[in-house]
Amino acid sequence: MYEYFAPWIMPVHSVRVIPKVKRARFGALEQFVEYWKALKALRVQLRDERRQLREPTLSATLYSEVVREHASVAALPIPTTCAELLPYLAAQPGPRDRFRAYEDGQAIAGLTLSPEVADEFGVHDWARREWFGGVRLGKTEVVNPSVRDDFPAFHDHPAVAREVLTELTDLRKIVWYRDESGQPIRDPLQVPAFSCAPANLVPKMVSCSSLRVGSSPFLDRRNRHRWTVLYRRA
Amino acid sequence: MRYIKDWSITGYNDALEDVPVAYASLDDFLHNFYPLCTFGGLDIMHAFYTWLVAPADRRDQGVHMSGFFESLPEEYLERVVQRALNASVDLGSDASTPLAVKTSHESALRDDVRRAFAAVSTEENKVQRDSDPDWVPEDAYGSLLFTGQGLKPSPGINDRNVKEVLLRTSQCGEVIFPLLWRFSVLSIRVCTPPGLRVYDFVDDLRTLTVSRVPAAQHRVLFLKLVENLTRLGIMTRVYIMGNHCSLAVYAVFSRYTRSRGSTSSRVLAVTGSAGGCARYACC
Repeated sequence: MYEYFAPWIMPVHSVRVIPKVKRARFGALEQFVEYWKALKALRVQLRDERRQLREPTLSATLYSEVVREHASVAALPIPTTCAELLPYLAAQPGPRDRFRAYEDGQAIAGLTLSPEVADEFGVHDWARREWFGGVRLGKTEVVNPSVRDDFPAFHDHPAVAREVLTELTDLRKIVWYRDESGQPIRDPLQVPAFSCAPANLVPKMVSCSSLRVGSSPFLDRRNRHRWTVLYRRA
Repeated sequence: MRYIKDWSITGYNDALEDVPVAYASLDDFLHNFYPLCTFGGLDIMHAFYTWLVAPADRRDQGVHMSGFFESLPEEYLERVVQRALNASVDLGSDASTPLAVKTSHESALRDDVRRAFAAVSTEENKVQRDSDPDWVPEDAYGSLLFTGQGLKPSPGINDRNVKEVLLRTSQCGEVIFPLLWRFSVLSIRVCTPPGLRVYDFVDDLRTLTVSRVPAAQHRVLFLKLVENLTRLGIMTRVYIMGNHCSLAVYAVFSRYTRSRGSTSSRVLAVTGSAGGCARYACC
């Protein structure tokens, strides 16, 4: 007991000289340690139970599908650092032409998920494969590529459309195809297997204007000064 | 505004396998709701655009910037100026630089850029604009690199990944037991069982404390969740945190639940005028 807590204070051979009162106090401590260990074991048990509850649900819906789709690249090690992202994405199946490297580079630039933190948090392998190698959209039949014009609503608000597309471009969520001179490609047939569906603009729900951290002033007046506005949107 | 692609017209959505969703409902939330409980609200920013599409399926998500979108030279000029200002790190990051110096530097830079643009022809300006990788070119084609809105499996993909994220991030919160914090001789950190329940609905996350968890602990757990999400790369917008009017919400919900038997979207309309918690309720 004393070795466990403070061996430099209470050597083992001096246990017998401890008065009864002190011994009782340490007995309580011993009981508490047992309680603490039991709490820890309970936490581990709860965590395992929760995992067991979750994983069959996930595997039923997607695990077999993901494993089947990624069978060819399943042997690739999942990236755990940012430096491994680009080689991993480049090894995924897909078109091998001059646009592919540019697409992969933009995709890595737009990816916000961190492989290091995902590894640290113990994210499951199927999820990390999806996050860093891309989600395979399961196709049941072959669809011929087609290029359609956008909806009229998209054309009626060109400034808004430009704003929306600029935001997505700034976030690196869209790659714009360019030729060797850096000029945009205006003929979709130059990009192999390219398909474009009509676009539309739909208004978003307006979000709230402010956030208050803390409890209600009517319930807890002492903490009123701690209210902080963290996010404000015009 | 949301940028939606209609893949149903092209038949692409019909050819894709459906991915099921399992959203949390208001009934799940009410099951654990109690008076004066504390709750929080988070919104994942650009939720669908978080998940990368595989290279093999990337070009099915084509994007077109229609040709008759006239470029706005002023807008482009401002963009170039802002980029140049951001590049001048010395002036931008140095807090000791007087504001007047910064302002004059900015106006001089703006004049330089404007002069450079005026020196060349309109066609050359257009060529320069189109070759700028940070500018959306006119009449150009591109591809969405992430799961787009309007794609049939997007909600299911988002849902399963959000669930995995929550599973990994909401269990990492370790709370120091408040009584033991005083006993520095022991310095024991007790890892509590998860005291925070998270309900997810598409990109809206709502948190609720497990019964009898004190508000201070909820605050710690909630902020830990936000921190973990941010570290992982999930950008969130915090809506509300605290116990504002939770008693009123509880009263409204419980009355409605008793009368109707179950909740529906109309409940959210009922609570729409309940102040701060209305935003919470609209999940």
